[in-house]
Amino acid sequence: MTPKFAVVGHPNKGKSSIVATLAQNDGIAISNRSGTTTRCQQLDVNIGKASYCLIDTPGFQRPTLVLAWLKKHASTADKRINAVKEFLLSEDCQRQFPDEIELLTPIMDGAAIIYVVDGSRPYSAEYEAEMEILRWTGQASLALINPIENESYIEQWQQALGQYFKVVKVFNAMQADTDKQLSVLQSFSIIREDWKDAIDDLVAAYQVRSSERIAATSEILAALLTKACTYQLSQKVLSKDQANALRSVLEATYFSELKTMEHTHHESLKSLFAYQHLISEIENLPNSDDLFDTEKWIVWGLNRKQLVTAAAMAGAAAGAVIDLGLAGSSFFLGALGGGVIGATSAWLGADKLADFKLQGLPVGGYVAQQGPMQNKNFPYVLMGRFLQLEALLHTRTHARRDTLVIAESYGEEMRTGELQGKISNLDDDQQKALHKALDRISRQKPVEDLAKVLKPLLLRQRH
Amino acid sequence: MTSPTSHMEARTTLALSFLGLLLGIFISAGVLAGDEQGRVNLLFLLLLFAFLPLLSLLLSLVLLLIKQNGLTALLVNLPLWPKEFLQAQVSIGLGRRRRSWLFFQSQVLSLAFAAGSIIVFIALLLGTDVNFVWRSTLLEATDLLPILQLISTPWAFWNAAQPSLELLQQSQNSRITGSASAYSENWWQFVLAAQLTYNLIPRAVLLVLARWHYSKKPKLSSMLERDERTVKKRHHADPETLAGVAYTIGHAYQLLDWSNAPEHCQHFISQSFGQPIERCPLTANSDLSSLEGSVELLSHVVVVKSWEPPLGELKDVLSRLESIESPVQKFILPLDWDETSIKPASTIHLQEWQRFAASLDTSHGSSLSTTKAQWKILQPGEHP
Repeated sequence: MTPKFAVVGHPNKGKSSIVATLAQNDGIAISNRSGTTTRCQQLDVNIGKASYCLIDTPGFQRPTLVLAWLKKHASTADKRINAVKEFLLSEDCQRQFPDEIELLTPIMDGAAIIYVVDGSRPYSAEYEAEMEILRWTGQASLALINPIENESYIEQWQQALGQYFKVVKVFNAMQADTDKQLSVLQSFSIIREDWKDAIDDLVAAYQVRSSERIAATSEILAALLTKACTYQLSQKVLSKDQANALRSVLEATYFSELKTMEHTHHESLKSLFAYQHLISEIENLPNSDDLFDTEKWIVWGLNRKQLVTAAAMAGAAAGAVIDLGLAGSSFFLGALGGGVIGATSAWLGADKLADFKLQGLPVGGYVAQQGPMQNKNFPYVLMGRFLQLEALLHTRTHARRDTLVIAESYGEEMRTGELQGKISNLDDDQQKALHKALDRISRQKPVEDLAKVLKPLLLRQRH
Repeated sequence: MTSPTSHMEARTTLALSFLGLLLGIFISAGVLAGDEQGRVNLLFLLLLFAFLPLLSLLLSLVLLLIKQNGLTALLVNLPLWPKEFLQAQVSIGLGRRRRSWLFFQSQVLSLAFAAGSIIVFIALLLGTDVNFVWRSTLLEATDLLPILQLISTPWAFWNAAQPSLELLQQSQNSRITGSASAYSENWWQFVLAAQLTYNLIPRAVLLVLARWHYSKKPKLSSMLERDERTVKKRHHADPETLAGVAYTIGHAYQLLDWSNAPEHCQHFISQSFGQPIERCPLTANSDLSSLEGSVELLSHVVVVKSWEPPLGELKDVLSRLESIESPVQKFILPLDWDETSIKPASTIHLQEWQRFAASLDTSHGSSLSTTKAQWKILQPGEHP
């Protein structure tokens, strides 16, 4: 049995925001204007093999009159459900109370009720009619206090709602994390025991999806790093003069393509988190919009010292393979030498970007080449920016309609060395594997299971 | 449209098929060429066409089960592939999906090898007289027969392809005696059956299974698409019609309280707009007949909570009021307050009420009438 939840309440109290957050769907229309939702909108939420249904409903428009009508048609409590059914069938009521007919229909068809109120505004008696109507439907229900502007009246609401609903939760549609979202669904497994198995399946499916997302995120990051670090642009030309004339065009195209590449993978990440409409702005660096300003890369990647340490670790790890091959007879000179070579090349190449090369062709003419990117910090920079986007997406809800601005969420001081902080949270072996993989990728060498190497970093960030 | 990844996958499959076919052709041709008299060692053939394929089949299954990538992984990681291939590999996905892909590619390679071997075998049978012999220092025909019988069990129904002691004895070759019977060419059915049973058919079956298994693994792109759910059409606001805002009341007014405003609000209204002539609570069930005839030449001021959106109930009451009386001016006064003070109503809330007020005029056709007053929003303070 698929659980169904009708999200109901006063107009403009965040019902659609709650639906967007619970369904993790940023395509739900949310507006400051009341009456945005005029018809019930059913949303099938599929999480793996588990699913549930959320119904966004129009707000109550004439609750006092509807309750008066119902009271006329049910003198005792046992007749209340039938009175609601009668209300739905009555042609007069359908004409007079279209909104209530619309919102009560899915409830009487078996949907559980999620009643939404605004905790930033005081409780008043005018809400009692609609809560009473919901009680008359006899369906499982809970109330969510959505503090739209502030939390000033939460306590007041809790006291009032507690008299009508068994479960009352504070749920900020703009901030509720997945655990909080799941706790709403889990509450229904207590209220409606016949949904217990289905809700347990949903919770399990959410957990599976979460780990699948981490794996997929690692793959997107691996794809970005591989593509961006191996990207090379070339153009056949007839003469050296022609090549020199082409140089600036080639260079501009190359860097623009790299930016597009990064943007595309960021978009993929947003899609993975089910954001189809989210606009994000990555303010590259303070006072600079240029991704390729090496001096400021350290804000996103590693500073020169950290980079040298990373390169030394990567070099040592590579050299240790030689030592292993020689069964230690090299007296660990491989690891030592690898470390020194790695560190030196990182120190010397810290400011180096992508080279422009001109190669002669055997049949005549030349090939002008831009790239690949030589800078060892480049994969770290890409990774640092990607990880920040991931962290923000993870904590954001789908009810928010503001632009995602990465730079403003972090102070410069926090950002500097932040990537290093994340990396240093890893185990030694994981750190070595990461530095080695990024070192290889910066030298355009294939890395077996790069996503697997990156995954621990994402897991650490998540937890 | 074919994606670059699919294109690269197809190219890899094609390249491995070609490689497998070539390996099959050359290795089989080498073994089947035999010596200068066209004698081919049957035991070598069995090793190549039955034991090795069976062993590699088991090995690849074990590697798949213990989640190791195996020989194909080594092959595709060789630096001989173009850079685009490295990129496409990432797009294929890693972990389980990559293992499935590698397993599929290993079956492609093996099936192509089997096909190449069989093509050469049939071609040589057609074009030359292959003479199958066997040699052994230690084994006798009677020792070998049970092994061959065991090997031929799967094609027990094919009599011509069954080994016999007589055939074994006739085809035993010795470098000293140097002869084997002409009947030794009858071995070809046995060798063909062994190739089909232990090489071609299992690899074909595994290829189909591997393809199915691989296609079942979600692609990265499909994982991205999977979370796309039914997306509602975004709300496009209609061109707004907003009622005007007034800051003073030109006439004596009747205060109709829809908001159940507390005392300090009432006081604030009196201070801002003067004392009302009359103060009446207004609810969905209000008996409006008591107002009939008492409001001639007066203004109506309906007090509402600015933060609560206008409900249909209020609209109903106001239209009932409209049908009873025609005041000189009609105002809706949205106020925002807390326990002790009055706060300015937010622009969003005011606009909500302006839309509502405009809709009242439209729905009652009063915008077309020059005699009826139009609803306005009343706000304290001065015109900005």
